[in-house]
Amino acid sequence: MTLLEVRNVTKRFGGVVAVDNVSLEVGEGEIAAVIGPNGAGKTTLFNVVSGFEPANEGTIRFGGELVSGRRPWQIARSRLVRSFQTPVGFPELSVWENLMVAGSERESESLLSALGGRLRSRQKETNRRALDLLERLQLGDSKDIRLADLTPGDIKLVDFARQLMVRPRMMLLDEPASGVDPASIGRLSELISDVRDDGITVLVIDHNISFVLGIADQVHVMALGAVIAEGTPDEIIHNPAVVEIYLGKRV
Amino acid sequence: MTGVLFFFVGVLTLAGIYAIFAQVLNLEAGWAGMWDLGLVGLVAVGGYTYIILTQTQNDEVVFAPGLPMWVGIIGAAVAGGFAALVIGVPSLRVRGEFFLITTLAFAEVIHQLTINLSSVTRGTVGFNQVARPFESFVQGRGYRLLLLALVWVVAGLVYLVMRRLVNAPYGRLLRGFRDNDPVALSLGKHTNRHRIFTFVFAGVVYGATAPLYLWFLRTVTPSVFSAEVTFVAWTALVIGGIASKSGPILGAGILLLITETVSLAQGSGDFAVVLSSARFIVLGLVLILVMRYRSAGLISEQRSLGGASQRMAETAS
Amino acid sequence: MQSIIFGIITGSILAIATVGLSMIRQTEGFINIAHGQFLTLGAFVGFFFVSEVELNIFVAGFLATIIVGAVGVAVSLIVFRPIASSGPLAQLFTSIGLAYLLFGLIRVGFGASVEFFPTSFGTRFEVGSVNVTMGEILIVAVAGLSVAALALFLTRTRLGTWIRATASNPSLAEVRGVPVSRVSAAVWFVASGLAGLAGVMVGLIGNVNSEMGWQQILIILAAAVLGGLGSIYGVLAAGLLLGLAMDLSALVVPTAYRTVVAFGVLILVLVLRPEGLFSVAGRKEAG
Repeated sequence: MTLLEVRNVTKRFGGVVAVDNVSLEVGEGEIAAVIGPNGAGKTTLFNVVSGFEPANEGTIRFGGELVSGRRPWQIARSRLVRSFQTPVGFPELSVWENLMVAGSERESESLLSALGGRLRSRQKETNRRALDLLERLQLGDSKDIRLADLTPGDIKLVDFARQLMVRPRMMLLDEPASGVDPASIGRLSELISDVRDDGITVLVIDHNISFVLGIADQVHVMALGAVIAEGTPDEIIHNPAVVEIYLGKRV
Repeated sequence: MTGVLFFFVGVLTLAGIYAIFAQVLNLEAGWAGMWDLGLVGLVAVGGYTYIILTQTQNDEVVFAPGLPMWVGIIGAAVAGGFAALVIGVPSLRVRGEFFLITTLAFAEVIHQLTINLSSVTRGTVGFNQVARPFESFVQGRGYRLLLLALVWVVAGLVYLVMRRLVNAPYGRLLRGFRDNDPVALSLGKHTNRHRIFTFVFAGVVYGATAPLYLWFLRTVTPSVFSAEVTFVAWTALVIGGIASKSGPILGAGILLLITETVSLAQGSGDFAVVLSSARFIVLGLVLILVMRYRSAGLISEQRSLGGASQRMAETAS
Repeated sequence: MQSIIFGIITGSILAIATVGLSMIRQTEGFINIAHGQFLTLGAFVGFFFVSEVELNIFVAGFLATIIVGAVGVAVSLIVFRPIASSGPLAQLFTSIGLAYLLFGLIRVGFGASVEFFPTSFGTRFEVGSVNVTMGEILIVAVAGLSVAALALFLTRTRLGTWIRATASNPSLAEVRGVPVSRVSAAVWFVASGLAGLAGVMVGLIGNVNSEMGWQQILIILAAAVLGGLGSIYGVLAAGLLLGLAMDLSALVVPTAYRTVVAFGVLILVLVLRPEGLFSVAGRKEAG
């Protein structure tokens, strides 16, 4: 079943067309990827899908529902979450607090419940999930450390964990491999595939072609705002248009 | 000797009042990241609502129901919250410096209204009969001690409320989106609604505690709600440390001790101007120096972060 | 209409007062609340030269401009240079402290009473259905000339070009070899000087008193934000617009509400267009 359906989406900034009549579909349970040179419009596409930028034209459906035009927090509540290229998170909060914020539901976070407070049981559950996730990602020891004091690699990991706390149906990962040393890329790939095994659909943007081709089921190639090719990693490697984009003439 | 003692009683009372304001400001600015330069406007709305509802001199004023004190306080709280809503909704559409200036603009509008709507507020003449609680039980100088105690009890209550707020998920969320709004949005948090709730809550507390200020001053005129109140509260907050829980209280104490002691010196004639200017010079210098030597990390949270998850572990059974 | 004339006068003075604030915001990165006190200082210094030293108003005005400009540079070096890396909010609060400090010092130095310039404006003469005095025309003329001079300075001189470069991208300008401290000093001199000049004008039109700075800074802030904090021309237009709004509103509402009108306009604009009226893709906003 198609989980994310992008139909004829165009996004312009002044005279520049950042996303040009893009259509793509991501099936549930898939790991899909969007690759392409710098300036191809990938991050803008993410911004439009996640509601941070309004599309000029086109529609986006998530789980069958129309989401284009909704505010980012509304889309996130449908459990479509995204990461940001430079992971910063909530720098002054501890790792644990970062996850707790992500996992707390609306009712627990209201001013009234803070004053009155039937918070205990719900928060206990969130706490348990947070601790489990930290263990799974081997971050348990850092749980009380201020996020800004961690290494960039760990900050990225917390970013990932934070998204998982929301119990997403789909995750949009923006350059998850950037800045990650080659030795850890394998671990990252495993994480993503574990997450897919848990039933979460993933859409990845990255520059690291081998990383992407290694994990993705379906790859979409963008250049200058448009999708120029789609297919399995194997098909993409052998697609002449794609090869030209990466090896040949600079467009 | 008792004169000097009672002078300090007065200073400590005023410090307590500012400790309250600074704590509310800490919630708005330190925890939620809303740099409010117009808080005196909210205090003014609360203060004037209180006095209009409760005072019994009904000459020259259109509206003087002479209601009991507790009604006045509730009315002040509601008015403060409502004013905050009216101010907050448009102001929160803009960020950073624009928000600062917009809140400052609103406070000035309120200031002008208190001066010009004299059929309601008695303009620059104001009110000079401020009835105070428990006055029939304690008279004269002893009352000042009562007021001191009352103010600090309220400051303590505010402290407990703020502590509860900041340790709750609500407070965590505030501190989160203060630093990174997009991430909070991407997690499904309606951050602007939380900001507005926080701002309105601040307005309610400013309004509810404004009567304390009036009971201390014993007169209500527009000049009592000048921008200086906002800046003194800010200075107190910064001295004590933004986003730390006890900071505002400490800061208020230190600051007021300094400025009020300076204004202790009274003179006549030529010196009067010099001495009354001294307060501003001192306030200015303190603010400059504090910014120079404390601003490393204007928001840096000094509380132990380990405490948060520890507390959670302890309540789990 | 008479109100339009008053509006132009108010607006012109507001414009030159605000231009300086906007320049500092662009090159130094923060809003300088003490700008209002530079205005007050200019008014008192000008008044001093006219009433005590009995200089001609033009000479006095010129001297006031230069002196306040110099004070501005001194202040920038002593107070703001040391905290240059502390971020715009710390700098803003420092400027508030400075404003109080200057306010207190001005009161001590010049007294707390209200003074009036003993300068005559000349006879009132009629042009159509309105009347103006030579003095009022000269004020607008001087304001206009100052702006023109500033525009020429910024576009035709090397220092001016450096200032514009720093205003649009400070880090790039520094990397390209623009002398940052010279630019900074120049901007503070010009901005504060213009504030001083505006102070003399405000003093001439109304009176000179120690509270002037606080009254004016609020409207200046409104004009600056309205103008988008970015372009000089935006600020000028905003200044004139607010001046006109304030004086035209006197036809409909009691004059006591002048400043309320100014803020009403500001708030309305911000609600409709959160970037200000004339936002230009200028300096990167901090925070």
